[in-house]
Amino acid sequence: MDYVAATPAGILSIAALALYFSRPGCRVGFWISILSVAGALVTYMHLWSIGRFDHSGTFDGDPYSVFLSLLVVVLLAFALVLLTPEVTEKLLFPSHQAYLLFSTAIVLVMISTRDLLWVLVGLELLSVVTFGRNPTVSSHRSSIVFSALGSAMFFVGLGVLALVGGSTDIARIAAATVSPSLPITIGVVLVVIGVVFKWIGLSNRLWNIEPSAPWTGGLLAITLLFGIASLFQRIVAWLDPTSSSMLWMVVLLGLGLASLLYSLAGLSQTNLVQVLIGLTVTQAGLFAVGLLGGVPVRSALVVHLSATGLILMTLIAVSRLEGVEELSTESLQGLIKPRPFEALLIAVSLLGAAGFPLTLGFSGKLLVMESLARQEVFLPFLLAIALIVVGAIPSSRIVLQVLSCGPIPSTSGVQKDRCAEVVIIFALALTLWVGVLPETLLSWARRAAMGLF
Amino acid sequence: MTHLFSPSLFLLVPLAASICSIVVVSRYSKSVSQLGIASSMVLAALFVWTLVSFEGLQQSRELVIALPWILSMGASISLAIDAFTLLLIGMVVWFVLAIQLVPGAMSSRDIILSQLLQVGLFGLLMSRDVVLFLSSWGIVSLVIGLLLGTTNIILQRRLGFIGVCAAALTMTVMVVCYHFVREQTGFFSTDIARFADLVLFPQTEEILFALFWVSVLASLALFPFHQWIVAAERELSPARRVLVFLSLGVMGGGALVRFAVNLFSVGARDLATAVVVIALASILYGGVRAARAGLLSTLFIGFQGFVLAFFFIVNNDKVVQAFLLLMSVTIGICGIALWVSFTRGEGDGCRESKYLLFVFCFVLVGLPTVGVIDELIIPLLVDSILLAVLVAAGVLVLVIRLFMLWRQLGRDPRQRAWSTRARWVLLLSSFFGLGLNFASSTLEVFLTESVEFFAIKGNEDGSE
Repeated sequence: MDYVAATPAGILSIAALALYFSRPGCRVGFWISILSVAGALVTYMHLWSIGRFDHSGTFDGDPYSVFLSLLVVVLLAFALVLLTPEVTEKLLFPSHQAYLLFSTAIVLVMISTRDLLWVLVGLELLSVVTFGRNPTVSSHRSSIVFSALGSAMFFVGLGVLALVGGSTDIARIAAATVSPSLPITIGVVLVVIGVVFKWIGLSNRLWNIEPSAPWTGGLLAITLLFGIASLFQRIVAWLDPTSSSMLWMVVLLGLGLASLLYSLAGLSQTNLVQVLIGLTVTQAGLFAVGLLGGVPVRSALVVHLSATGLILMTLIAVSRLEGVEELSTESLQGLIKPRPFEALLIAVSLLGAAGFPLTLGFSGKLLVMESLARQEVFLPFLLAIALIVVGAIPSSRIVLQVLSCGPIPSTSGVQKDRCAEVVIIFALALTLWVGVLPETLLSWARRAAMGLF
Repeated sequence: MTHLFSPSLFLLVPLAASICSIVVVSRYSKSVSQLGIASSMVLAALFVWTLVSFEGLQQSRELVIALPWILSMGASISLAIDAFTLLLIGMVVWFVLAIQLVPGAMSSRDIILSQLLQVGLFGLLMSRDVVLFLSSWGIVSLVIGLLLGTTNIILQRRLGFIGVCAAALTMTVMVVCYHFVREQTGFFSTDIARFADLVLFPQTEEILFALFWVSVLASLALFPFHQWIVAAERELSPARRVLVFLSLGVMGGGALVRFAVNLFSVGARDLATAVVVIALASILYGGVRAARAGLLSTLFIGFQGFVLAFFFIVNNDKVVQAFLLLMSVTIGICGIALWVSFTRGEGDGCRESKYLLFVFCFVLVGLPTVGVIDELIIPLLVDSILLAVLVAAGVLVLVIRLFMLWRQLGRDPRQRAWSTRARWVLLLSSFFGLGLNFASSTLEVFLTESVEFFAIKGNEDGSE
């Protein structure tokens, strides 16, 4: 039987529909979502095992897209196990879960396609389901403006590419054109900026989708980053930025610089959500700058992306469970005393985000920097260092706060959650395992990067 | 057998002890202290065993293990103990044990941090792989951050910022070297020996040395990055003060300076003047502040600068002596820190153990210092009036400071009678002193054979 890489997206969509029409408080809905994620995982593991290196069509499941999709599904599984029925009843209605599953399905479609039209369709669908919820949040308007601007730019860029290359499929355009001409570069740049605007608009909205529990939206913002990163990687694999045009270089450097400025501006933030957003933006900026390293940096970026996803997801998960109502970094002071496991996991994850050796983030950052040094691209190298430093400052600050003695944060009212404890121990083991022995992750990433195009 | 187990055991024993302590601390907090002492005892025994093993080594005076680790990145678990490393390990083990034996000096948290500090310091001293080296440096920095920053948020933030910037500079230097290794050898490797074998343009090496040196100055709280240690000293408990000075001294002299000079020998030689100027600034600052405020940190800054100046002035033949001097100063400062702290009644020590510790530390300092004065300082004094003045100033400050402390001793009503633990201190001191006497007879041979590790490339071919 020939599987299609979009099959798991279909499974998740069906589960989302079933959940949407189920009654509130129904435990069956929770198990439906768990089963659908398990199905998606099994499908992707099968696709990974057969390794379709010779396939190049949309939804054929090349190792690169399968690897990233696997990561996204693992993150989703992680989130769903954390959102046990008890938690779901309080914070997440079945419609929320349906939204989570459906949005992830859209991201999976975006990852496994090479056709820019599918990316546009995915982004628009995500916009519809995202902006259709709770339209009372103040940031709603600016998010819509960013999103609309992104859609327009993406659409124009897509039109230019379709006109010049005769198709909206990256592989076909690449086959039709011998070397990237100026119109193609302009088209790609418009698409890239459009996607970035779209991500800004959607992320801004996603993080604020539930002011009392921003973690669902945060998770989606990160998985969306995976989708966009995969698109960028494909474009880079097609148009080598170091040899194609100055415009392309300026765009990627501009993205890196914008991330740096955003992160610098947020250095004094004490709101946990804002810190997490800042970390996400810094890592995304490092990814954009890393793209300038060309072909050698591919596998390094895959490692960086996987590490970032796992680290941020772990942080979200632990912070979600923390029970600290104020969502402030100060409220984490002295957390080691009442909740040592969570404190340790937060510390290890944040050290990973800072690129501390023996943690998950170190290998990715080291390889990205080495690849940039190999390409002898001086400016991106310096920008990458600056991004790493700016990302490390809030991380190290929170680590010291979490591990220091101090006023014990209020955790009254937080019930013991065995499921969550299991997830935390699993996450800690995974973080340390991949951090200390990253060889498996590195070999997977190399294999994934081989099958990029 | 010693080859395989000795270096790794120095890491595994305190690591296992710290993990056990973390697990049991909430339920059996009293056991943490006993666990800490037991771990230090095991380490002391391991130290003696390794010292004896050294005698049996005919070919090279070095215990090495190298196990495969992250193959695709070229990283391996490569650890080595040479004579210098062993000397420093012994020093760390002794000081941690001495503090642990003083009743009430350390809380459970301090004991756990001291064990982690041992892991970091031993890793830093023994690493022959850059990833391990950076990991150990990170652990030491993190523990110092936790020792310092627990009471003062502003200090915590400042320290975090300095630490991150220093780490970023080091990381940059290492990545560039890593890249050059791949370019020159064709494969990835994080082996320090390969880094040292790199053939670089002098300008490149100078830039790399300068970047690394800024990071070293920031990490060691030397001028102009000294403010945090001065601010922190006032808030530290006696035990923490000793741990911080000990780790800074060992990390600086034993690991970072050695690393910087070995890796960037040309840069170190070319920029020696700049380093000496910075060192002189440290000496002046430390001397003036120590005379006025009497803080140990200022004394520490002054003497570290003093020794660094020596280190970069001396030629290759005298590098060993310069290192000995650096270590002697660290031991002396830590000894004074212990003595002063407990003399002032800040700890729950006893009078005899204080005297004992004081005498012990200065005997320990005296052993290598005699040789250093004979072989290094006197010949240098003949050549340089500036150095003569520096030595005189340094000795004067130290003597005045010690005299002031001596007068304070005995005035403290809280000094207590002889205790069981003091007997332990006496016993262990005797053993350790005997060990050192034994070591001193072979120290010269050990250290002379370890000189190769510090060899400055420029001097080898006689081109300089």
